[in-house]
Amino acid sequence: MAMVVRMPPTATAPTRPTPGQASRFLAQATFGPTPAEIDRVVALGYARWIDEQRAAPHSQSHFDWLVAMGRNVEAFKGNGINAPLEATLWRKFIAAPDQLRTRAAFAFSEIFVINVLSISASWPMFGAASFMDTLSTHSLGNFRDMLEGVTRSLAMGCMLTYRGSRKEDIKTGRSPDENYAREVMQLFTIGLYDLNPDGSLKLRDGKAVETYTNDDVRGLAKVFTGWDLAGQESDPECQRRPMALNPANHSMSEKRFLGTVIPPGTGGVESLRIALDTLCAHPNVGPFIGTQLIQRLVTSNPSPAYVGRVAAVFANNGKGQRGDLGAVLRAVLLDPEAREPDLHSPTWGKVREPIVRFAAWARAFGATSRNGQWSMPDTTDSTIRLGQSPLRAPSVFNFFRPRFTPPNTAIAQSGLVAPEFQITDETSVAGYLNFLAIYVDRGWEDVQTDYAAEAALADDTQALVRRVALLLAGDAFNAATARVIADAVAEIPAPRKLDRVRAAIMLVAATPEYLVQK
Amino acid sequence: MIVKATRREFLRRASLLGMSGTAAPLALQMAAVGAAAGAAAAAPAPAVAAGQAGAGAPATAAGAVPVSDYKALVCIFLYGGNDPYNTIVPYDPTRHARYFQARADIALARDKLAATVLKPKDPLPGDQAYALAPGLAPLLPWFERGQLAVQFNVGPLAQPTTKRDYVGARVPLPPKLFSHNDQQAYWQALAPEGAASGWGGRLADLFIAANANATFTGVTAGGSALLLAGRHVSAYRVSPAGSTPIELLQRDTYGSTTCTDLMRLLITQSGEHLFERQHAALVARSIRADARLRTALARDTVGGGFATPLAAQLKIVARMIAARDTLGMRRQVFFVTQNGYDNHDGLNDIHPGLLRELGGAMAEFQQALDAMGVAGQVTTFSASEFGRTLVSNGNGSDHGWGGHHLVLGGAVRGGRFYGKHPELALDGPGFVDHGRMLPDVAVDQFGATLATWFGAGGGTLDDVFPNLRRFDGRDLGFMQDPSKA
Repeated sequence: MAMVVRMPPTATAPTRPTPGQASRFLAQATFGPTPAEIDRVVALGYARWIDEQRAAPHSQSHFDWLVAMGRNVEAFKGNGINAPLEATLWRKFIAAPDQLRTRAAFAFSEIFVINVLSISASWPMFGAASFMDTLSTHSLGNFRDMLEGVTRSLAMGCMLTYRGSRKEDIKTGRSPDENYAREVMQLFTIGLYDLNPDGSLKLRDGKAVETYTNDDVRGLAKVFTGWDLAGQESDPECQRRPMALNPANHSMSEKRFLGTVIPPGTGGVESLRIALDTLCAHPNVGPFIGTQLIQRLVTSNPSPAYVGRVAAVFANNGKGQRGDLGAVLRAVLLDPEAREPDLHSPTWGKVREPIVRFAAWARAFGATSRNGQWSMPDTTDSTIRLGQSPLRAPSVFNFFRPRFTPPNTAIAQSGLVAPEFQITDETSVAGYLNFLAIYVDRGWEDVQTDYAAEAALADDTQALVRRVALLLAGDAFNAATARVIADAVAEIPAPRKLDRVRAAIMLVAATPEYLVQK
Repeated sequence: MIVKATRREFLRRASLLGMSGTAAPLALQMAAVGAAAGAAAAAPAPAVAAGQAGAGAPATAAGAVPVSDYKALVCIFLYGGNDPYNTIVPYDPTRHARYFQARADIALARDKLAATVLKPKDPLPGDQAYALAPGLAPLLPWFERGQLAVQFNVGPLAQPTTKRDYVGARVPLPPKLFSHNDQQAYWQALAPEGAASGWGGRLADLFIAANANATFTGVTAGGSALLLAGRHVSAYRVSPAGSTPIELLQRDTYGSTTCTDLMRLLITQSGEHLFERQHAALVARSIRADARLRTALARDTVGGGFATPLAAQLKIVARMIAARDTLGMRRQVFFVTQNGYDNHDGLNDIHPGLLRELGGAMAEFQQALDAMGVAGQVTTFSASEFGRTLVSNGNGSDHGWGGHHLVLGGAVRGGRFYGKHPELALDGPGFVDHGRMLPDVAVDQFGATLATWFGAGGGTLDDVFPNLRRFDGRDLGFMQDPSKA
């Protein structure tokens, strides 16, 4: 990770956040601030708000909601129509009260990536829903449990093709499917190169050290043999049940990987336990996962010190426990670098993900489903939607890579990464504005708001725009820009309050300074 | 409240927002507003499209190659790692038997290949015969016509590498050979690790001064494209429908033209934050390019169905090639993509369909180029981050290394195979790590052959392909020599 100017932590954090600071915090910790949630953060302070969120009950799962809505019917058995998946995902992004858990689960869905279209068994929509539920269950829990839930899920078994993987066959030359073995190391736990706790490369003789070889992949691939869908595909429950082991298909030969040797004759359940323990114990996991959580929520280029502080909490949550994700997220969000950045830094922060932009609009302005349907579309199209859609990334490599930098730019020349720029191009920047124009104007289907609070301010466009800027960008929006926007909005005749509100929101939400989250 | 008479003053004040000594000067800001608001007949863009709007460095004369004709390269990137043995399938009885034995679970039956057997103009040594996968049947006539070539066993190498070199770790290798994203980057960059440019961009840099609209020098219809990133060239993204206009700028905002003008200003300018500047630059480029492309593509003369996702990408490429004179283009590199080749699972359920889409789209594209009369001026080639293992994992193959690729076009010395297909023996010198084909030819050599045809020569080839000098032979021979045409 590139070195950036270190943000010196201030001696003491403010004891009571301002609304602007609370808004910026909520943009990192949730799908976006609401007026009520801003008040809550101001009242409790950051730490107690986080503690309250960690203790919050789990909101209704995606799987249960789909069943309650009667979607467990023949029409959704195949992989053609998955629209209700969008409905439940956006429903929770926008309205789930346990926002920290939900936001963290979405961040994990960009590390442990599945695509609903890759789920080959019946009721794929339920498989994707159940997968997001698994991420939610563990997103503030323990990493080892998270990894096991992901590994045993039918959705991941389909995505990375180890569902039905069979042991080696000397006669035909068949070798076990290597896909999951490779990607669980490369993408889910340890990455490609040995890391120091601060995320920097651990060099040997001046060179990066690879974490694994093809031999490790082939050895680990044997562990993931024999797992497949448990029971019958007669109803959606099949997608919620962890995969089951068929011992006849499991490799019983010796399995060697990463310095671990699983003796011959070791069955699938025990082999899996040893393998997941080995992966989770690797010193890379803290900085590897910690850096990505920081990137998904806070800033694309954290300082090594920030990464080190987060990785230290991964290694030990203060009570001797490794992999406490609740503690890790607390460390990510309470770190002085996250709470008191230099808002005038030319490099600090991250491009807001289009998915989060839409959810943040809905939350900020009280948009909700009028009839409980949450009829949201697939938002993949980059000409007139968001250029990304949850659980529809084009591959296990997510919508963008953690180390992507836009070529031939000052960003690249400065040694910085900017992952979200991988989906930001001449088409998608126009597509976002085209979608913005639609949903700010009239919502989407049953997802609607009457902009009541904003309309009440519309006579005073300066106050209106200040409110809009506060809700969307906290204390990081330039006051001069806000004034110019308010002056322009005032050209719209005063009786057309809603039009003034719409114009104000569109203008703020279109600016580069909003689009870069600080 | 703003009175319309003071709108110009208002915009002048607005444009000073976030200004600093390093931001673009006011004149360019206002010009951006004017150009975007104006019709397509706005002042021509500067001859360079750098990553930052308006503030780019002028095109350097160094290395610039003057050209008066038109040429285009089209890269079809097959994401996931294309299985080479089920694409160019061993067909003679001996080799087919070995192929079948090596991967019985996923091998294609010999009798299914009879209709697509390739009969090269120069016979292969030792009775070797190969067939196109049945899905690629639409390309058979192009092979017979001498416009399709097959390059065997090309892949990323740091230097010529034997099996002994590999097993003994005696030579440097490209980093992370079996990792999708690293190999995708390596195929497209062909530069030392960490370099942020692609060989297509470095190649196109040489000719950018010959293009009236530099923005369209490197064009992707298939997503982010490191291949097209050069010092001056930046990939320009189109959708299958062409450029994407920003609706909010086409009308007033709830009756307010001031709001629309302010929108245009705000989205194309920013303060000092590097991410904001890059975003604003992209929006500015999007607006400028849309204005130009929209008119140029309006006279749409490309017919044909082009129904599949890959074909739709190739159709917009064909339309842009049709508009080359309107846009004043001489040299272009295009990038299109097909997803789904990572067939660890269900190879024979998925791969045939992918190849049907590939073959059909390439044939339709070449037919359109023929109709335009530019068949000899456009060369299309396939690429993929790696091939796959010769052995099966039960119903698929895993990450490999070398792969076979196709080169299509009127200037191709087609109807032939280039390179060598290794003997199909896992323990033999052609395969490492249990079934991964050790490349015989480096991607650098493959690219250099295309680049030479494109017009790069001599010393400039080493700038475009810094690692080329490690290999013997910078021209693999699959492009016609114009002096012998």
